[in-house]
Amino acid sequence: MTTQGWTNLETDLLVVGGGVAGTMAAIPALEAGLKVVICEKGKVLDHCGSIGCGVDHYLTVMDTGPEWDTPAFLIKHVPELTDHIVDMAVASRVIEQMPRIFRKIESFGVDFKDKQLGTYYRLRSFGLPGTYHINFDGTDFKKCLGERVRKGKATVLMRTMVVQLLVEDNRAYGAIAFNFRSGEWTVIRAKAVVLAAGDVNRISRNASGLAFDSWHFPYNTGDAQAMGYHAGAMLANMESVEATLTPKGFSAQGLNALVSLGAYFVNRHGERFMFRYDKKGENARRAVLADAGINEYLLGNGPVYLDCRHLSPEMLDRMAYTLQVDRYTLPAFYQQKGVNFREELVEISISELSIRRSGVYFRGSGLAVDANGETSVEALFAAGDCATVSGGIAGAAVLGHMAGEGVVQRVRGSSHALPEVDRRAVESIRARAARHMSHDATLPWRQFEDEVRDTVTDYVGVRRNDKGLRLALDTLQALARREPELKADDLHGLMRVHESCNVRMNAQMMAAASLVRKETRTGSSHCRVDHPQTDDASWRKFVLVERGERGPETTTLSVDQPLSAAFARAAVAA
Amino acid sequence: MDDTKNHASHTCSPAVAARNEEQALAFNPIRIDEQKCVRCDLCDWICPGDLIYHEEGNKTKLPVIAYPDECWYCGLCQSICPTDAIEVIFPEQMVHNRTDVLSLLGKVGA
Ligand SMILES: Cc1cc2nc3c(=O)[nH]c(=O)nc-3n(C[C@H](O)[C@H](O)[C@H](O)COP(=O)(O)OP(=O)(O)OC[C@H]3O[C@@H](n4cnc5c(N)ncnc54)[C@H](O)[C@@H]3O)c2cc1C
Ligand code: SF4
Ligand code: SF4
Repeated sequence: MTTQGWTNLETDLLVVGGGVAGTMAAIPALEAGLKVVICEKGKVLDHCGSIGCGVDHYLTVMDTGPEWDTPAFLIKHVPELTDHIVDMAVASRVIEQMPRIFRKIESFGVDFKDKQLGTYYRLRSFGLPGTYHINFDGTDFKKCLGERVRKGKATVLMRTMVVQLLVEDNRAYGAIAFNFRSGEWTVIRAKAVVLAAGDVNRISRNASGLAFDSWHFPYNTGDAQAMGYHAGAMLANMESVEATLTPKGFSAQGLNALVSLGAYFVNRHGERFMFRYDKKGENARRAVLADAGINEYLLGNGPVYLDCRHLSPEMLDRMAYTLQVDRYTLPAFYQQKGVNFREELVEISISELSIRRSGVYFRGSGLAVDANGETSVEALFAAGDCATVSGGIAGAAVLGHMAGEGVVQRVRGSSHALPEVDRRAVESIRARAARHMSHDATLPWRQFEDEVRDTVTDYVGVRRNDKGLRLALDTLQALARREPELKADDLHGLMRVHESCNVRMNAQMMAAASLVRKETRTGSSHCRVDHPQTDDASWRKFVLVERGERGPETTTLSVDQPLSAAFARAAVAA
Repeated sequence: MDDTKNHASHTCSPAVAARNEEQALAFNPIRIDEQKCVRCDLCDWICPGDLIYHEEGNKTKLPVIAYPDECWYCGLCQSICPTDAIEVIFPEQMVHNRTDVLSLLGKVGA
């Protein structure tokens, strides 16, 4: 440690978050000979992030011959899949790159083939116009990416949370981070930064009332979105909220496996209701499935149940196996609950909310990027669930890789010297951290976060109106003023305090964007009860969020243009 | 680079430790079998929430669940444990949940 109390590092690329998108961004940079530093909250790169436990499906076109399996065919369907709110420039590039990146990941040792069939087991689900989902045993998926990065000799700072970006003249040059076990602070100067810190969770209440019992990874708290916002980056689609259907009491994965293998949902009258909401029934998009569940509850038709009793024993075996790959503890949950999903109905709840892609592939909520994965801030890139085009592990892998290639271009094309570290910024964030850990701080982060969650659940969630959103914005702004009082009992708590502030910031962006979009789109993803119609004439637009003097400021942009049309910086020379 | 950088400290504050006792009962996310556990540190390393603390190399002390209410119930610790010493236990409010789902759907009427 140096006299100033922090360690300085310098690199070509700094990656924030070593999940799917972050590792995939590091790989092309390492291949091009760049120096790469990755900061990651987890301790083991092979298992950190959302899918440390494994995955069961990978969405891709493979270009094997039939028309439906070509990028052009899927691209043609993207506007309808996203209810027309999509950046086609970026989404098209992601889809075009899918076959290449899929084969690259296979070359890392991921086995996408079904062990029994000896070939790819491809299924249709979530409203997609083809059998694009490969069902596979992805227990080692992340491990293969981690190994690749370690072979490339990246410097990986584990148990290290990035808390603030360094920016000068709308150009990123690094970040400030601390290790929550050792307390060591590191200031990393970098020629480019990739934000890949995932989605936003812990933002609303759920059935169990346990904030960390979330469908998605509860340790992803929108850190990239919040840090990007503070650094002046533009965000889009923040009004869209995501929920899923989950076994009541345990917010778990599995919807994809259930619906693609033929499970039904029924209401308390025994009616298979999904066809009332979509002609594809249980094969509709996730957003539609969640919306249907929500509506059945609102109509008084709850409880809603999962029904697998009609399935063949082979299908049930496959389902049981797949569910366990996707969420390791789901069988234990059913067992401890004493329910047998093969023979009994399983009660289903609406999950807590999250900000990701609102149950719609290719319409990500988060940092707006161009077709190189670069945000509106020069040399600041974003990929994965924190970016405006995302789609599970495949979306994260492809855009991550594109961002890594974009970084190589950016770094090679730039001759700027890196600015000196803004010492005042470092000192002020450290002073704030010291205050959180001192006796002057009294506000427990759990209480603060609960207040955010209550506000979001009640007024910014799946039912919104002008009055409620304004109330929520007032509450969330008032909470912002209390942030300096947040108390951390230890270094681990200091990480949680930073996360709590990021969750609140994302909630505020969501409320601000929702207030602007005066229509309803994609069912409960953005349901304005005071503007219940989808208004294509006025609202085929993105809502953009940027930092203003007094909080988030919003503008709109026609979807006929890419999001990058609103960026002030120059694009990288190709 | 400094090699000690990533080494785990194994303590949480006394305030946290006191809270734990209470919380562990309410959330009891995982149970560690004292007989089976070989004190290998893997669960401490793998937990994505930084909940499990074990002094590296200490062959007598059991790992501690320092922040029971922050468990994701993912079972990574259980799956990685070389001796099957860990079991994930779901608390009552998860296995027998009585929440009215309508309470999650907002206060804004039509
Ligand atoms: C249990 C589970 C099963 C899933 N199954 C599938 C599936 O079968 N198929 C599919 O397509 N999708 C699946 N998904 C979704 C998929 O995992 C995500 O879409 C994907 O991982 C997104 O990649 P990402 O890189 O954006 O986020 P992640 O892979 O979650 O990576 C984000 C990383 O950033 C780190 N981080 C966060 N904040 C900071 C910070 N401030 N500083 C440093 N590091 C930070 C986190 O620790 C994490 O490792 C699943 C998700 C879950 C939770
Ligand atoms: S992984 Fe298992 S054996 Fe190793 S310390 Fe943890 S409980 Fe004990
Ligand atoms: S179940 Fe997951 S979150 Fe809970 S203690 Fe084990 S590894 Fe940590």
